Amino acid sequence: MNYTGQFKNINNTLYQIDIDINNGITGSTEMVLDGEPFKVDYNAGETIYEPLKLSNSTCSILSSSYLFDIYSSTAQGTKLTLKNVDSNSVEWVGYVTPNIYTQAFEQPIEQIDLEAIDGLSTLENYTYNQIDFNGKKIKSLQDILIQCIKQCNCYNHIYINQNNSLTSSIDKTKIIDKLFIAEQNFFNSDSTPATDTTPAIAASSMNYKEVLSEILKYLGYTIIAFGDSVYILDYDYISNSYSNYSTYSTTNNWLTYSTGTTNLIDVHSITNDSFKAAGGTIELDTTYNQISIKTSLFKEDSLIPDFFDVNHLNNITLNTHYWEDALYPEVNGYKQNLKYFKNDMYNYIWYDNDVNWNNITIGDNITVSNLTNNIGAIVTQQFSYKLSDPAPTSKSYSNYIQLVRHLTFSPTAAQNVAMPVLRTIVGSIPNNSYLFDNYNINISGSALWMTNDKMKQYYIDPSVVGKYDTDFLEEDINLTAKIQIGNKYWNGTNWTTTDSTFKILFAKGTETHLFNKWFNIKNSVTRAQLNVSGQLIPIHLYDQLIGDIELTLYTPKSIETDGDFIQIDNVFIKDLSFKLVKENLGKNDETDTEYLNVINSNFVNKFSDLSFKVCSQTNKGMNYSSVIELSDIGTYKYNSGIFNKSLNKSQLQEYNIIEKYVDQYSTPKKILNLTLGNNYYPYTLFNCSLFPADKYIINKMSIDYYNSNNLVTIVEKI
Amino acid sequence: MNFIQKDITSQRNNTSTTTSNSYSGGISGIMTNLGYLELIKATSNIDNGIILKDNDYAFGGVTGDTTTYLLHTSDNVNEG
Repeated sequence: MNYTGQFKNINNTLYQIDIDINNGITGSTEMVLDGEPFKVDYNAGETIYEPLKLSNSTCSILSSSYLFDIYSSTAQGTKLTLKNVDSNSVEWVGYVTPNIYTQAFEQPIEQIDLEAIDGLSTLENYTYNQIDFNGKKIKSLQDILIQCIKQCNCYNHIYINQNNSLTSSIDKTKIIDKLFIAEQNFFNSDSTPATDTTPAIAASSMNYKEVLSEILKYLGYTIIAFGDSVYILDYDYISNSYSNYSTYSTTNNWLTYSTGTTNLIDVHSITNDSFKAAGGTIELDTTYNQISIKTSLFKEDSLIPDFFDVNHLNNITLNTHYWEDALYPEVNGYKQNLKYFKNDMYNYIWYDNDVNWNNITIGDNITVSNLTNNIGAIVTQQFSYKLSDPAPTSKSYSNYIQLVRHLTFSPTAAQNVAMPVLRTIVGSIPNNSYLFDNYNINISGSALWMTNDKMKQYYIDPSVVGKYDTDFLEEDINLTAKIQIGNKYWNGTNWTTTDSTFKILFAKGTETHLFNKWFNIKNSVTRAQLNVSGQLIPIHLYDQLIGDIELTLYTPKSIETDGDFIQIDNVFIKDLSFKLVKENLGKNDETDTEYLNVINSNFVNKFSDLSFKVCSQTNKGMNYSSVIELSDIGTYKYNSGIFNKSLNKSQLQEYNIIEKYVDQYSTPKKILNLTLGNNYYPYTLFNCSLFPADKYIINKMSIDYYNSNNLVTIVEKI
Repeated sequence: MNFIQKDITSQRNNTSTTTSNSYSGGISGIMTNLGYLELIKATSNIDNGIILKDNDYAFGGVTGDTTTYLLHTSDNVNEG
């Protein structure tokens, strides 16, 4: 359904207003427009550097009905477009807000004001979705910006200024394709990973408007929608008379797009003839001498999803009652309480036996038969107590990963192999931007080997006393695992592109028996600064680990005790963690950072704190919020400085931003509110004959299309 | 221009993949969405099973399990 209406402005330019309602009804109805039918207000923020300067329009029509079908409950249900028919160009595009303001209800025909907001404003109604189907990745700021603009469903061109560039880069026209950030930064921690058939579901994330705002804040840019384009401006760039812009254009709402460069320059001198109405005013802007930027890092140090996160655990115990009251075996005098779970962040691989190694599916109902006959891995909670002791008043379950094996005595070589049984689902851990530095993966936890000299069993039996299980080598108590990050594997010595596994080693200590004893993962940490214990896998910047993280655990292998390869029935693992650690170089990893310019402390006039969720690396704590740069030769590292053309220096981006603010706000600047003609752009630079040394940028506009005038708020810019 | 860096308390509470599901200053972010009136309603409704464990928790942004609040108070959120 479409409503359409035309009007001519005082200069005889023909405009057309189209209101497209996405309600499945075809047809077009003509609207009768009011005398001054279309006005647009571009809003300013607290400072000229507001990252998003959004606009809203008012369309006045005359109608005997109130056109209730125009009002949609969705943010983009009714599109409103103003076109200049003479030049065949879009002047403004947005969406009608789902509200009707109080209108007169007296005459047969009333004037009705339809309010609409621009496409950028509707972004707050849509939460950020990862760009790729299979998980959150590290993406360029360019990809994320385009992903945001795409959601507006109404803009075909992006113009972005070239004020920022990388010193090391030959191409100075763009920086946003060379800066990267982890998409996880824009999400909450709690999300559901992708399966083969469904994409990941984010439990919550920032909305697109917040994401756009965070990226632009970091870049020091301002976005304005004008016509069917968005302009990403830097007012210091404009006031320094730089005019080079990179362009992105699409004809299919950003499924594909072309890029290029262009010059945008529009300088006007304000003279007597410029004024279209009286009532101009002048004022002085507020001043600040101190600017503070506070980082807000999304910190993370675990490389694997928690096995026992209740949000992801499904109880797959076939008969809860039966298992919880089960007593196995009756002769040992213990009561066992057993629960089995599937954690949906992991894949479970089960086999029928170790002769054929055929894959089987155990489904969502675990049975005794699965646990006594098959081979695989499961997440379990177990609790036992001695019947001869007083009954416990509460059940205190312990959490284990159980590797179900039932490996025979003296197995054949074909039987005694390590097969994958438990694997993280790709995408369940987002790409970790913090791998671009010198870190270590710290593996800790402990494991218990359980024999079976009586019957196949599937729980930790406290009554089992190991037999024939002495005289074994420490290096033989190990578990096979695989860590793959992107296309690299840890092979026990270094990161390689060859598909490799490694061994998780355990410390024998003073134990003489193998079975029913807890062995800790062997400590290989020799540097006290790391403040952890366990196995250590180094990651160096030169390893360039990028991509999905996948951890796989394998079936345990037989261990030679007393001269023979003994039966291994089950291995239980507890407190297993894969964490990223780095040496504490005197930094407090738990904190964020505040950046401030140094001023004379006798007079402090501080601007309200700027909070950055996209930040430079602060080398304190692993996080998803630090920006990574891609070099011309294809290597990644954390960004440690950006060249700012208008400041003519390369420094930490937070310092660039502070310096921009301080330059503008440390001395009073003139603000002029003037009604001029409607022939300006968001990037227009003004001169004023009354103050010939000054330059002014547009901070705010109110355009009246019928009267062809624009009430501009222009701000002095050095 | 000279600059200084200071350590400040952590601004976000995403310290772990699993133990925290808060964002943007913890519970305060959620309360903003629900509105102050909702909070009053929640605190005055303890008999119905809503437990505010700690006043700081509601206003300060301390990491914790926010699920309780969401379950009981988000039935009718018409978020602006």
